[in-house]
Amino acid sequence: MSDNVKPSENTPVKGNSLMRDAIRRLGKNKLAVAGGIAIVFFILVALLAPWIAPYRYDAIDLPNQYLSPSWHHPFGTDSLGRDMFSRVIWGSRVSLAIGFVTAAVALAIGVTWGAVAGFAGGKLDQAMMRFADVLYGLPFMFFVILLMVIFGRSFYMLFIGIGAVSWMTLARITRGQIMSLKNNEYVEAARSLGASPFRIVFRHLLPNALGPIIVYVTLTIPGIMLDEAFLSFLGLGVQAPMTSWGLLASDGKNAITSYPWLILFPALTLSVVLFSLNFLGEGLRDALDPSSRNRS
Amino acid sequence: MLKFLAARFLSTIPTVFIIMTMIFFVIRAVPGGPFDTEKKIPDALKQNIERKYHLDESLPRQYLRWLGDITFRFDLGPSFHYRGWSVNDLIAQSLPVSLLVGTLALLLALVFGLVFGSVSALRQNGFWDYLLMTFSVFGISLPLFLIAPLLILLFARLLHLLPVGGWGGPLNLIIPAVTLALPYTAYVARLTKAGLLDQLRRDYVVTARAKGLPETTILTRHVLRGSLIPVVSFLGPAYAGIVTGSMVVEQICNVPGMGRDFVQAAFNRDYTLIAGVLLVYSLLLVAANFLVDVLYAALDPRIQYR
Repeated sequence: MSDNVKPSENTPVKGNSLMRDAIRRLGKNKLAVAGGIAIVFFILVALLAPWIAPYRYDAIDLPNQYLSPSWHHPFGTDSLGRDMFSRVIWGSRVSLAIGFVTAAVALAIGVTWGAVAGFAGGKLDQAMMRFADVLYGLPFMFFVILLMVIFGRSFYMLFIGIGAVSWMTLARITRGQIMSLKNNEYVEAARSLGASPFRIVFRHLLPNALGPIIVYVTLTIPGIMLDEAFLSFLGLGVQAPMTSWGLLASDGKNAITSYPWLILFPALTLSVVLFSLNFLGEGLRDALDPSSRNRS
Repeated sequence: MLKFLAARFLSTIPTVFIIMTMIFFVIRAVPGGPFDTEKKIPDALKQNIERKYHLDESLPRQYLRWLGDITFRFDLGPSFHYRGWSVNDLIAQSLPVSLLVGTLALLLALVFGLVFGSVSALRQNGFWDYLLMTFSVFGISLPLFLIAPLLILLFARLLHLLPVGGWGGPLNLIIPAVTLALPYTAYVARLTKAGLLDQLRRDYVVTARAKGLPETTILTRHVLRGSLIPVVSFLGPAYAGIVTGSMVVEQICNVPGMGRDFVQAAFNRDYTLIAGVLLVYSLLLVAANFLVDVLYAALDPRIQYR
């Protein structure tokens, strides 16, 4: 950033750029770093599932049903003798994919909505934000459930359904950012050069608003993963023989007292991923915006 | 204040109307009727059944009939799945159960959230602050279907203090209510902390201190009131969240509430029951939001109803 300052010979002067500052602050936050490492680990596990998992997720072995955790089956086996450890590894693919892809859907809707509202201002802005407020107040999970019942429980409905209820806060954040940025001189300059509103929003304003948006997306992913787990737990999400952590936990719900490992291991794995994402997200927020430490 | 109450109350009417309309049309958009079974029913029989439930009428007529029945008699119609039961009967059985668990959960969340949040704001960056805020991240991240089984294993199976599940005694309430309360305790604690820290920096606190008011008076009479506003505005979403969560918790703990009814109804395509439960939840939510706004206005004299 500060390359116009020539460093004198031999004494390297470190620029104190915002980015470097943020990275340094993030590095100091041990929980956030641990969270980041854990996320990378789980993404690798999901990608490499076919090579890591000792069994296939649908490998049935009836004589060995309900084995408690042991050296051969670290997480035990389920009612069909399937290895829970392998199923949790395979389940990570669905759970993580839904978390990340749905966050992308929510990001696309939320950022577009918020950017248009914030840039347009006036009546349109008010109408759009009032609409988002009304949606925010509804018990929306019920409508997602209805959607899943009406249109069948496909993978894509999960993306669309959960994405459709997760974009409101992102829209609000983007709108706030755009509103605070749109009166800057460089916007005026771009406009006088004849740039279209579309170009101003997407090329000039959004890149500058990216920090808070990235932070909030990191905090949205765990929420979405919880929603997926919730739906799958109710039997309205992913369908067998495909599996996710929520569905695995659901399979174990009737055996809490007799075979507790069936619900505990998938639920614990999900929880570890959620902690990691939340710690990473909060670390990112504190690093990018130190004054937010004292806000919620 | 009276004018505000009246205006705010009137504004709930269009909301309720919109919700009712949405529920009716969304449910009627479902492909596959409640009487589409694997077995082939003779057409004449099917027509008779459909006539009995007024499914042979045009959609606008069905809509008006439904609206009229609810508005004037609060009659939600017969259940399509449980023969001989009306939706009113089913909801009359399950609503008190869910209300009891939900209200208890919300109270627990409020009490503990306010205490935890205040402690960590007043001891900022101290041991308790870090402990409680770490706990709050756990509370937000843990899925309900982990909390409930853990509590059951610990208190019911190992310590034999509480029943594993079911319904009947006051002890049956504890595990479901605590499970539902945990995430919202965490949220309320974070909001309280943020609100307190924000208020403590304000000029009026300096003024109050300069006037020599004792610290406890400043906190209880001035700061707390302002910092409660974000907490109060969170109560609406919190209520909606607890209602949603009750679907999971009631299943795990085997509680005969409305959440379980709703999930069952969704599987059985029991249109009238789905509509009834959705309507009751929405009415409760509208009522909760109304109360929140009233509280809001009472706490913050600057807020006026436009």
